[in-house]
Amino acid sequence: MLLNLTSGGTREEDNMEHLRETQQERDGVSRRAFIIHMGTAAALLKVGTPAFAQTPEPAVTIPGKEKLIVRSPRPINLETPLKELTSDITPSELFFVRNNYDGPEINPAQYVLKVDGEVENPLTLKLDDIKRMEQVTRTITIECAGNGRGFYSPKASGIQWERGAVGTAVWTGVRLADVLKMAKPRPDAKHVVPNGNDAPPTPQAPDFIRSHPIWKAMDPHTMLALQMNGKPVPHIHGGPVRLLVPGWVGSASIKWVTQFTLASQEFDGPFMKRSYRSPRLDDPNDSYSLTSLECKSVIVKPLDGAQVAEGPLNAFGFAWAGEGAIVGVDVSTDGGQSWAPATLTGEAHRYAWRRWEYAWTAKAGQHTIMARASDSLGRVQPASRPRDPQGYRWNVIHAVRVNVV
Amino acid sequence: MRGLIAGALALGLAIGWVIEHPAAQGIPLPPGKNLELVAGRCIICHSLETVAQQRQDRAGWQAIVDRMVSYGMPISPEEKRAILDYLVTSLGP
Repeated sequence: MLLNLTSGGTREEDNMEHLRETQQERDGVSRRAFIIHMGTAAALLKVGTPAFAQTPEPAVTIPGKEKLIVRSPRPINLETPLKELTSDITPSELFFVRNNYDGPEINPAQYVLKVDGEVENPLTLKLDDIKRMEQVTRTITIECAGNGRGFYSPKASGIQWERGAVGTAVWTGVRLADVLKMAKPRPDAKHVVPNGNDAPPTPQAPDFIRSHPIWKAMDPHTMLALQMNGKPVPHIHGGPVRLLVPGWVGSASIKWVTQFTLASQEFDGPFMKRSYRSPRLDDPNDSYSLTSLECKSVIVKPLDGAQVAEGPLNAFGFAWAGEGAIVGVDVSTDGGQSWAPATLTGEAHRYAWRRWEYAWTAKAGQHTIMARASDSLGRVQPASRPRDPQGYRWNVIHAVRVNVV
Repeated sequence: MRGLIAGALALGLAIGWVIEHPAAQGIPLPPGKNLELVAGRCIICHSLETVAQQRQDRAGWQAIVDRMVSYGMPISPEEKRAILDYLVTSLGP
């Protein structure tokens, strides 16, 4: 029986309720009772070689992003290979790129940000106006909602991301709250509708617009980034001004943002009502609009299929949990029969991934390494998950095979 | 005369080979009937790699093609049938 902790709550809080619902996932797993059998380990390993590998490699590369996997050149969708995802802060040239639509370059001197709708004081700001405001710097992880879609079987439609549609950067800019406060939102302003400078390829295709509730917009971590890793946000990452709604699916973080409209209702467009939605646990015939990221981790070292020497091996990877905080990562080196905690290292930022490290003494033979993250909301990575119709929310435990010689 | 016929036959086979092997033309999609129609219509809005990585059954492809038509893909009903047949045959589950 699922707990409903939001009787009488707002719709927005109902969405966040799903973070608590996942604590009681259908497979009925509790952290203490969590046992992975060899069969499940084998099943986890099978997902590492998706059938679509037969698709021919595209012949294009995107300048400045040569090391990334081209999932599509138009619109640009680029994935970071796991072997490049080694540092706590992802260098900008290795940072993944996701677009629903491409957008034209904006001349910073001509950039304008409008704030309108349910406000007393509509605004028009130039880039210099934004630069003159109090600047904040935050380390934030962005992940695409579809990261991992490629592992669902049968296939869900969309970009077949694997593990590399995720990255962490240091972002400098202004709090969205500081901008919105200048516009003096009216009491009716319950949702914030950002619009970016991207445009669909035909007049009939819907503009890419996703709104978020005002409570999230006013959170001090929600920001307009002007800099990424110490440089002006590159065009390919949504510059000159890129919205960051941290801890939520990447599609909330609108690129090339040029307008905020405050509204009394959630935006009524297909990217809210048709896509970026997932079935509700308590009523699979109903769906909710995606908000927080899942509790998730990846193993960066060793890579799947690696051949390593006997002796000490420092396994590591990253773990993140959206609105949750990572409280631990457990590692198994025997295909899930036994688990031991990894060490969480590096800095702890509210909305950035944590690095985990695990010292292993590798003995000769074939081994299956697994990592399982847990978060402060009671969520634990599952050994399997039901198919999501649009391929979202993949957070199954990552398993890698290693041959120790 | 026989030489001309043999030559024309060889040329026809060669052209047929090129058409049957989309990689030779740079089309990043698997071979199949109506490939050129599919490539020519889909590429209006997005790269073909977007199509090539999908695997759907008939219902899944129907829903996608319907959505593409609603987004403005310019095709007649006959072309829609031909495109759907290619997708289900060459990019089935």
